[in-house]
Amino acid sequence: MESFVSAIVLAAGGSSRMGSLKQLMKVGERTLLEITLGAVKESAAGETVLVLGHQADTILKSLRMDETTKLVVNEAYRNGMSTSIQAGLRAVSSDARAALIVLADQPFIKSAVIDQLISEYQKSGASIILPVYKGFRGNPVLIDRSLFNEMMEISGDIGCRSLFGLHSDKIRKLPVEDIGVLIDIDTAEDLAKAQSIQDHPAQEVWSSLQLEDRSMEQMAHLLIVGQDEIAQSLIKLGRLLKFRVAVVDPLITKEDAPDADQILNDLDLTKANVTTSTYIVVASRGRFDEEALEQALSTPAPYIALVGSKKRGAEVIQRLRSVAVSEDSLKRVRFPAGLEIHASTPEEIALSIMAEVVSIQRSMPVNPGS
Amino acid sequence: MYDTFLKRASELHSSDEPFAAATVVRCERPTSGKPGDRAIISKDGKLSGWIGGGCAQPIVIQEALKSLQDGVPRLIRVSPTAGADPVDGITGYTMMCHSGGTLDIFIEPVLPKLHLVIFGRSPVAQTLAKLAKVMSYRVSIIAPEESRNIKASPQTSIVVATQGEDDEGALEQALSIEAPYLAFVASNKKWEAVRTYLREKGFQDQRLNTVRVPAGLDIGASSPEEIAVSILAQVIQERRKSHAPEMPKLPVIEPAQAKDPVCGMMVNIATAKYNSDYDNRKVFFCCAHCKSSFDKDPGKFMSAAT
Repeated sequence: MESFVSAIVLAAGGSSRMGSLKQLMKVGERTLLEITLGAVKESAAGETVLVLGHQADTILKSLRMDETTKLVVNEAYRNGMSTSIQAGLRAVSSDARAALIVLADQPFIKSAVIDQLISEYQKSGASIILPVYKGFRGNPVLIDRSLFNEMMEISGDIGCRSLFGLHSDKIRKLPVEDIGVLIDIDTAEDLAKAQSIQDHPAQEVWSSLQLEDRSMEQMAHLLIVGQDEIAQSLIKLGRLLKFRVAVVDPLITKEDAPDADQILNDLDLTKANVTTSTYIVVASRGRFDEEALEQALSTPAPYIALVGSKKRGAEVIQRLRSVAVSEDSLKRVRFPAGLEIHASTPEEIALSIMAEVVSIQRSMPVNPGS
Repeated sequence: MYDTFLKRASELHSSDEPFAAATVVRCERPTSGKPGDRAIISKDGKLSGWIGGGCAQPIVIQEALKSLQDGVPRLIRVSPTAGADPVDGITGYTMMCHSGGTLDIFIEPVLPKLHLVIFGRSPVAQTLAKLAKVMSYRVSIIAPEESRNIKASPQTSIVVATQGEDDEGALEQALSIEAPYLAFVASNKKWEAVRTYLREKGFQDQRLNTVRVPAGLDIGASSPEEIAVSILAQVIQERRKSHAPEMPKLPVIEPAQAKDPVCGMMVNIATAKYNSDYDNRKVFFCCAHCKSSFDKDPGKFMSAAT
């Protein structure tokens, strides 16, 4: 049998919000898992390995399994996604040259994207291939067999991302036109939103500003990457503080952020017109922090901050270092973002960030603890 | 039972007192606590209600006080094997001494909202009110010449931002409220003048020294918006600070503790009811069961402990 790429579909997770199993959430006639499996089957992947864990029996009953799908039950699924990836890798046939790690909660992945990843792998021979939509990194990720051993060493609730820092030279980012690579579904609301995004593809750039309006152009500029609660509070606070507020996120809409002056659905900061009065806050919670920071560091922004714990910040910096970002540049990244005032709620963290922005604006960097 | 819980919760809530609610969500018999049993733990570590007997109580109190410190809810498991079989998202406590069953208890901190009292209608006052709304704080605005009865709590922060419109009257009112944070938006020079007046009105220096002038963290703020941000940053910082020293007084980190060699639990020596003598020193236990296990074969536990 000729060599091929194996698809590992991860559906072991135990997040059963609102009492119903996420894997069995209905999208139209079919369940989330059926749709994802369907796309994999239609693709050029040579085999399918399905990893179940949480409520494996219930999920199995709902599926019509055929003999081409290998089933693995990961009893240790509670110990994180890494254990499910490893259970899947162990089941991958020895003829497979590479594995695609597919997440079951991504029902909008199309078989065409999977085919694109596989054909890119055959052409380039890169060890890791990531789909990238408008600059935002997504899933599934393709991993060459040469990295399987390393994947067997990871632990906790991390996936392929743990390898990216170590093998940045072997990564190929493949631009795709399908926003499905970014959409994962946790709740029914996520689903409704994802469907509307599919129906109405995101706008390139939306802006309430008239570019000829010079007074607006001269305002201080707050650029927020991400749309979590901290980002949402920052948008409101930035507005009240008379900043021009721009938000960068693949899925955010005008309705999500009525107080923003500009919304960018591309991770392309050249479209945001970054100047020396632009204050950049990266709050994507690990989704595309590295990419956003890398771009931010090539701008003249006086403030580039990363929201997150000290530990995660250090990991992000380490990954940037491995893609040859210079030490001088890395020193520009402030993390954790915000003045040290022991802020704890998302709103308070947002306020601590605005206080830090003001202190930088006024050239008064402070350490209020001392 | 549930009525009592709600009544106590609403009492504490309306008096702006922080508390934690603990609910038994699952049990493996035999246990004395059953799903739906609940209790309220006040900030002084007092438990009212029922979440099961014996050793579960001190653990719940300890975790409840921790949750009041970090503001994070938690799920804990008290069982004979919790320590050996860790589950993601559950803090396990190995407990040899109670009935032998397993209790899962959800603990949720209920922290009162910060209450920001703003005197004045200046641009700083207005921006502060808007920012505080984004922060989901409770906001009261008192116009100049208006007088209002404000009940102070540990969550009350007062900002006098009258900026020339009867500063003295507002400060007199503000000083009579016993709030942990009081700031006056003014220059030092202005403050000196107002201070002289307040001293004549009978306010002691000791009290006047607690007024923050200039208001807010020194971040170089100059516009009304920036001043408002610097003030809120200071309010947040002071709030955490004022919470911090309160905690070590609580029975969370008691120096006078000893490890129960049977179940591994830390026992408060001052209140331990059960102890034994071993090798010329005292050994403390959390309950009668641990003591009797120990007394049967002390060597087994002492060698394991060292």
